[in-house]
Amino acid sequence: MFFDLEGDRIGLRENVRMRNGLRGLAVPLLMVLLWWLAAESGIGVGILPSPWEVIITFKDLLASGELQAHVKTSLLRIVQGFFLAVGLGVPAGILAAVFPPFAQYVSPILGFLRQVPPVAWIPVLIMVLGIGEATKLAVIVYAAFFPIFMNTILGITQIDDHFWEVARLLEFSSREILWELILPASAPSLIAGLRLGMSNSWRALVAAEMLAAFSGLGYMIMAARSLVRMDEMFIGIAVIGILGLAIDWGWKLLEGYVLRWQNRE
Amino acid sequence: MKDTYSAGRIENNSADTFPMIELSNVSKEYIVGGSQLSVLQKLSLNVAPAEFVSIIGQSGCGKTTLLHMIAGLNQPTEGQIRIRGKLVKGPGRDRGLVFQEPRLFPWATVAHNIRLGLPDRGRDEGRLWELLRLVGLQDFAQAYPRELSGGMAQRAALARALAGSPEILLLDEPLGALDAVTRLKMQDQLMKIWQEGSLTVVAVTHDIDEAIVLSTRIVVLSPRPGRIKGIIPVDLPYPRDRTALDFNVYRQELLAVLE
Repeated sequence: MFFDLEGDRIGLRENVRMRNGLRGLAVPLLMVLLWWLAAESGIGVGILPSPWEVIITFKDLLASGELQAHVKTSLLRIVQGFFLAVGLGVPAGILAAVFPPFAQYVSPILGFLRQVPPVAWIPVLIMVLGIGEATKLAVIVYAAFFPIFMNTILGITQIDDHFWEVARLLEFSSREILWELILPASAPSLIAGLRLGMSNSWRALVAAEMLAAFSGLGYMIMAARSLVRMDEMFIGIAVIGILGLAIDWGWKLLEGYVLRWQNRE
Repeated sequence: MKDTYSAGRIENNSADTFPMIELSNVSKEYIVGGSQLSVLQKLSLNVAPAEFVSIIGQSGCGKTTLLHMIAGLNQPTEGQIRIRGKLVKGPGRDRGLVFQEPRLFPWATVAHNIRLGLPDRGRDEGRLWELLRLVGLQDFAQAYPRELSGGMAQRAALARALAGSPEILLLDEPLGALDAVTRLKMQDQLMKIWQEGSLTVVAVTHDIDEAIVLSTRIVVLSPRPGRIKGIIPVDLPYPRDRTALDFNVYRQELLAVLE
C-alpha cells in the first residue's frame, strides 16, 4: 500500500529496535542455557550450583531481607561518597580552570594520584581510619573525584571565547558567569565526568567492602566465599552488575534531559 | 519631504555639546607572531546622535576591531573613544552590539537569550515580549538556537542587543551570512527600528548597496592599517529606492573611493 508508507516505515523502525534489543539478550540467555546444561550433566558438582538453585537462594535472601539490607547499605555509601566527591571535584575543577595558578600547584600531585587505583589505598586507609564507614567513604570519594575534576576542567576550558565576550558585553555578575555560562556550557563534559565518577566509585566500593566491611554487596560476596556458597556469590555479582546498569541508565536519562538543547540523532 | 532625513534630526539632539561617539586618533596594534601589526591608524571620527553611519572597506581593514573597541570589549593602543564625552573603559548599557555571528547561548531558549540582555534579566516579562514581537520571534520564544534559521538567529541577537535600551547600536555585518531575500527584509526591519527610536547606529558592512540604503553617512576605510579614505554623506530620502537614478550616483562615488 503506497499510502501507508510512512506508517510502514515507523513500524519497521520499531521492529528494528526490538530486534536489536533481542540480540542483546541472546548472549546472556545462551550463557544461562550452557550453565544449566553443565549443572544438569553434573559438571562441577558441589561447586557450581544450578540456575534453579540460585533462584531459590535469591528468593530466600529476599524473604529474609538480607539482600535488601546489603543493597541499601551499598547504595547509601555510594550516594554519600558521590555527593562528597561532587562537592570537592566540581569546585576544585572550576578553580583550576578559572585560576591557572591553582592548576599549576595541584596538577603534578593529582597527576600522580590519578595513577594509583583506589584499591591500593584500602590497606593504608584501614590502618588510619579503621574498618568503619570512613574508609569506604574515602575510597568512593577518591574513585569519583578524578573523572569529575578532570571533566569539569575540560568542560570549562573548552568554552568558546565568543561566549565569554558575550558575558562581558552583557555585564554578567560572577554568579551569572557561573550559572548562565560556565555550568551550562560545560554541562556535556561535566555530566560525562559525573557518570564516569559514579561508575568508578561503584567498582571501588565493592572492592572496599570485600576488604574492609561487615555489610554491603562486596561483603556479601566475601562472606559467601568463606561459607562456600557459590549461589550467593552469583547473586551478589548479578545484583552489582544490574544496579550498575540501572544507575548508568539513569544517567543517560538525565543527560538527555539536561542536554536537550543539543543536536539529537 | 516628509520622509526626508533632515539635519534637523541631529540638531534637535545636539543640545549637549558632545558628539554621541567621538573617536580621536584611535590606533590599534596587535602583536602577531612576535611582530607588530598595525590594524587601525590614527582614526578620528565624530558620530552625531541618531545618525546611521556605515563603515565599509575590504576585509582586514580593522572594521570589527573598531566596533569592538566602541563596544568596550577592546582598548585602543593609542587615542581615545568617548561616548557623550565620557571615556570608554568597558562595555556598557548605553551600547548594544550585534556580532558577525548570532552568538546565542545554545543551551538557552530564545526568550532566555534575550532575557540575559535585559538589565533586570527579564523580571519584567512585558519588555521581553515587546522585544520578541519587535523581531517577530514571539512564536519561537521557547525554541533553542539550533532550531532557528540564520535570519531568525540574527533577529534574536538583535533583540538581545536592543534589550538594554541602548542609545548606540553597533552592528558587525550581522546580515553578511544571510540570503538575499532575508537580507532585504532584515534591512527594512533595521530601518524601522532605527527610525522609530532615537538610536545612533554604527554598522560595519562590505555591501555597497546595503550601506547606501541604510546610512546617513558612509565611512570608507583603507586596509592594513585601517585609515579613513573618505566619508560620503548620503542625502537621499528614506525609504530609499535601490533602483533610483540617484542611487547609482552614490554607487559610483563609493566605488571610486573604494578603488
